[in-house]
Amino acid sequence: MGIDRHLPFLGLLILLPLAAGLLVLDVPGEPMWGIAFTAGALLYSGWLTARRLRDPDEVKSAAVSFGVVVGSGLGAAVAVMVVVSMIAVPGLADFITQQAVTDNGLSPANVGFAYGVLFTVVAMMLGFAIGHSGWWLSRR
Amino acid sequence: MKNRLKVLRAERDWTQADLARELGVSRNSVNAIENGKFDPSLPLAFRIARLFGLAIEEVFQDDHVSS
Repeated sequence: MGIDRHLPFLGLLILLPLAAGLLVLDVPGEPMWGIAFTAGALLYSGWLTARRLRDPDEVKSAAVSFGVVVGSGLGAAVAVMVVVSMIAVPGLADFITQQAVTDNGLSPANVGFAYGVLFTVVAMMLGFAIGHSGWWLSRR
Repeated sequence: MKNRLKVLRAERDWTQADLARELGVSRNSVNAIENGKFDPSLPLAFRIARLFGLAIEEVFQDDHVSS
Protein backbone atom coordinates (compact mmCIF):
# COMPACT_ATOMS: atom_id res chain seq x y z
CA MET A 1 0.00 0.00 0.00
CA GLY A 2 2.82 2.42 0.84
CA ILE A 3 4.63 2.26 -2.53
CA ASP A 4 1.31 2.40 -4.37
CA ARG A 5 0.62 5.89 -3.08
CA HIS A 6 3.98 7.13 -4.32
CA LEU A 7 3.95 5.52 -7.79
CA PRO A 8 2.79 8.69 -9.60
CA PHE A 9 5.52 10.75 -7.92
CA LEU A 10 8.16 8.11 -8.62
CA GLY A 11 7.11 8.22 -12.24
CA LEU A 12 7.43 12.00 -12.31
CA LEU A 13 10.85 11.79 -10.66
CA ILE A 14 12.02 9.60 -13.55
CA LEU A 15 10.08 11.11 -16.45
CA LEU A 16 10.57 14.83 -15.78
CA PRO A 17 14.39 14.75 -15.82
CA LEU A 18 14.27 12.57 -18.96
CA ALA A 19 11.95 15.06 -20.64
CA ALA A 20 14.15 17.98 -19.56
CA GLY A 21 17.22 16.17 -20.89
CA LEU A 22 15.60 15.54 -24.26
CA LEU A 23 14.53 19.18 -24.56
CA VAL A 24 17.77 20.78 -23.38
CA LEU A 25 20.49 18.41 -24.55
CA ASP A 26 21.43 17.74 -28.15
CA VAL A 27 20.84 14.00 -28.09
CA PRO A 28 21.85 11.95 -31.16
CA GLY A 29 18.80 10.34 -32.75
CA GLU A 30 16.54 12.71 -30.83
CA PRO A 31 13.28 12.06 -32.72
CA MET A 32 13.46 8.34 -31.96
CA TRP A 33 14.31 9.00 -28.32
CA GLY A 34 11.39 11.41 -28.18
CA ILE A 35 9.05 8.78 -29.57
CA ALA A 36 10.42 6.18 -27.15
CA PHE A 37 10.01 8.57 -24.23
CA THR A 38 6.42 9.46 -25.21
CA ALA A 39 5.51 5.80 -25.67
CA GLY A 40 7.07 4.95 -22.30
CA ALA A 41 5.27 7.79 -20.55
CA LEU A 42 1.93 6.80 -22.10
CA LEU A 43 2.42 3.14 -21.16
CA TYR A 44 3.32 4.09 -17.61
CA SER A 45 0.30 6.37 -17.18
CA GLY A 46 -1.96 3.73 -18.75
CA TRP A 47 -0.63 1.08 -16.38
CA LEU A 48 -1.05 3.43 -13.41
CA THR A 49 -4.64 4.28 -14.43
CA ALA A 50 -5.56 0.60 -14.88
CA ARG A 51 -4.08 -0.15 -11.48
CA ARG A 52 -6.10 2.63 -9.87
CA LEU A 53 -9.29 1.48 -11.61
CA ARG A 54 -8.80 -1.95 -9.98
CA ASP A 55 -8.10 -0.39 -6.56
CA PRO A 56 -9.89 -2.33 -3.81
CA ASP A 57 -10.79 1.06 -2.35
CA GLU A 58 -13.98 1.55 -4.38
CA VAL A 59 -14.27 5.26 -3.56
CA LYS A 60 -10.83 5.96 -5.03
CA SER A 61 -11.64 3.72 -7.98
CA ALA A 62 -14.87 5.66 -8.62
CA ALA A 63 -12.93 8.94 -8.62
CA VAL A 64 -10.44 7.57 -11.16
CA SER A 65 -13.26 6.24 -13.37
CA PHE A 66 -14.90 9.65 -13.39
CA GLY A 67 -11.59 11.31 -14.19
CA VAL A 68 -11.00 8.95 -17.12
CA VAL A 69 -14.47 9.64 -18.50
CA VAL A 70 -14.07 13.42 -18.24
CA GLY A 71 -10.50 13.31 -19.49
CA SER A 72 -11.31 11.20 -22.54
CA GLY A 73 -14.36 13.27 -23.45
CA LEU A 74 -12.73 16.62 -22.80
CA GLY A 75 -9.47 15.66 -24.48
CA ALA A 76 -11.15 14.41 -27.62
CA ALA A 77 -13.50 17.44 -27.73
CA VAL A 78 -10.67 19.95 -27.30
CA ALA A 79 -8.56 18.19 -29.94
CA VAL A 80 -11.45 18.30 -32.43
CA MET A 81 -12.07 21.98 -31.62
CA VAL A 82 -8.44 22.82 -32.29
CA VAL A 83 -8.50 21.00 -35.62
CA VAL A 84 -11.67 22.87 -36.60
CA SER A 85 -10.04 26.14 -35.48
CA MET A 86 -7.01 25.39 -37.65
CA ILE A 87 -9.34 25.17 -40.64
CA ALA A 88 -11.56 28.10 -39.71
CA VAL A 89 -9.08 30.65 -38.35
CA PRO A 90 -6.96 32.19 -41.12
CA GLY A 91 -3.22 31.93 -40.52
CA LEU A 92 -3.46 29.52 -37.57
CA ALA A 93 -2.56 26.47 -39.63
CA ASP A 94 0.42 28.32 -41.17
CA PHE A 95 1.61 29.42 -37.73
CA ILE A 96 1.52 25.85 -36.43
CA THR A 97 3.24 24.57 -39.57
CA GLN A 98 6.04 27.10 -39.02
CA GLN A 99 6.54 25.76 -35.51
CA ALA A 100 6.69 22.24 -36.93
CA VAL A 101 9.54 22.99 -39.34
CA THR A 102 12.68 21.50 -37.89
CA ASP A 103 16.22 20.82 -39.06
CA ASN A 104 16.40 17.20 -37.88
CA GLY A 105 15.15 15.68 -41.12
CA LEU A 106 11.55 15.06 -40.08
CA SER A 107 8.84 16.36 -42.37
CA PRO A 108 6.49 19.07 -41.03
CA ALA A 109 3.62 16.62 -41.47
CA ASN A 110 5.26 14.09 -39.14
CA VAL A 111 6.15 16.72 -36.59
CA GLY A 112 2.66 18.21 -36.85
CA PHE A 113 1.13 14.79 -36.26
CA ALA A 114 3.33 14.30 -33.22
CA TYR A 115 2.31 17.72 -31.90
CA GLY A 116 -1.32 16.78 -32.43
CA VAL A 117 -0.94 13.56 -30.46
CA LEU A 118 0.96 15.36 -27.72
CA PHE A 119 -1.66 18.10 -27.52
CA THR A 120 -4.50 15.58 -27.29
CA VAL A 121 -2.70 13.65 -24.56
CA VAL A 122 -2.09 16.84 -22.57
CA ALA A 123 -5.74 17.88 -23.00
CA MET A 124 -6.85 14.45 -21.77
CA MET A 125 -4.51 14.65 -18.77
CA LEU A 126 -5.88 18.09 -17.88
CA GLY A 127 -9.41 16.75 -18.27
CA PHE A 128 -8.57 13.83 -15.98
CA ALA A 129 -7.10 16.19 -13.37
CA ILE A 130 -10.20 18.40 -13.52
CA GLY A 131 -12.61 15.45 -13.36
CA HIS A 132 -10.72 13.63 -10.60
CA SER A 133 -10.32 16.73 -8.44
CA GLY A 134 -13.89 17.84 -9.08
CA TRP A 135 -15.19 14.41 -8.01
CA TRP A 136 -13.41 14.61 -4.68
CA LEU A 137 -14.34 18.27 -4.12
CA SER A 138 -18.02 17.45 -4.69
CA ARG A 139 -17.80 14.85 -1.93
CA ARG A 140 -16.40 17.05 0.77
CA MET B 1 -28.05 7.35 2.11
CA LYS B 2 -27.83 8.25 5.78
CA ASN B 3 -25.64 6.26 8.11
CA ARG B 4 -24.53 6.11 11.73
CA LEU B 5 -20.84 5.68 11.03
CA LYS B 6 -19.78 8.81 12.90
CA VAL B 7 -21.69 7.79 16.01
CA LEU B 8 -20.50 4.17 15.89
CA ARG B 9 -16.93 5.34 15.37
CA ALA B 10 -17.15 7.76 18.31
CA GLU B 11 -18.52 5.01 20.57
CA ARG B 12 -15.35 3.04 19.95
CA ASP B 13 -13.13 6.12 20.11
CA TRP B 14 -11.87 5.50 16.57
CA THR B 15 -10.58 8.16 14.26
CA GLN B 16 -11.47 8.09 10.57
CA ALA B 17 -7.95 6.83 9.94
CA ASP B 18 -8.51 3.93 12.37
CA LEU B 19 -11.73 2.96 10.62
CA ALA B 20 -10.08 3.31 7.22
CA ARG B 21 -7.28 0.97 8.29
CA GLU B 22 -9.79 -1.61 9.54
CA LEU B 23 -11.70 -1.49 6.27
CA GLY B 24 -8.65 -1.32 4.01
CA VAL B 25 -9.68 1.96 2.40
CA SER B 26 -8.35 5.51 2.58
CA ARG B 27 -9.36 8.10 5.18
CA ASN B 28 -10.86 10.23 2.41
CA SER B 29 -13.08 7.30 1.45
CA VAL B 30 -14.33 6.92 5.03
CA ASN B 31 -15.04 10.66 5.13
CA ALA B 32 -17.03 10.49 1.89
CA ILE B 33 -19.12 7.54 3.11
CA GLU B 34 -19.65 9.03 6.57
CA ASN B 35 -20.93 12.32 5.16
CA GLY B 36 -23.32 10.55 2.81
CA LYS B 37 -21.40 11.78 -0.24
CA PHE B 38 -20.74 8.24 -1.48
CA ASP B 39 -22.91 5.16 -1.08
CA PRO B 40 -20.75 2.07 -0.49
CA SER B 41 -21.25 -1.09 -2.51
CA LEU B 42 -23.06 -3.98 -0.87
CA PRO B 43 -19.86 -5.92 -0.04
CA LEU B 44 -18.31 -2.85 1.59
CA ALA B 45 -21.54 -2.04 3.46
CA PHE B 46 -21.63 -5.61 4.80
CA ARG B 47 -17.95 -5.36 5.82
CA ILE B 48 -18.70 -2.14 7.70
CA ALA B 49 -21.72 -3.67 9.45
CA ARG B 50 -19.73 -6.81 10.36
CA LEU B 51 -16.92 -4.63 11.75
CA PHE B 52 -19.35 -2.99 14.16
CA GLY B 53 -21.15 -6.24 14.91
CA LEU B 54 -24.46 -4.86 13.65
CA ALA B 55 -27.01 -5.62 10.96
CA ILE B 56 -26.59 -3.55 7.83
CA GLU B 57 -29.91 -1.76 8.48
CA GLU B 58 -28.62 -0.61 11.85
CA VAL B 59 -25.72 1.18 10.16
CA PHE B 60 -27.27 2.47 6.93
CA GLN B 61 -30.70 4.00 6.54
CA ASP B 62 -32.49 4.18 3.23
CA ASP B 63 -33.61 7.77 2.59
CA HIS B 64 -36.97 6.61 1.17
CA VAL B 65 -37.85 4.58 4.28
CA SER B 66 -36.89 7.31 6.76
CA SER B 67 -38.73 10.15 4.92
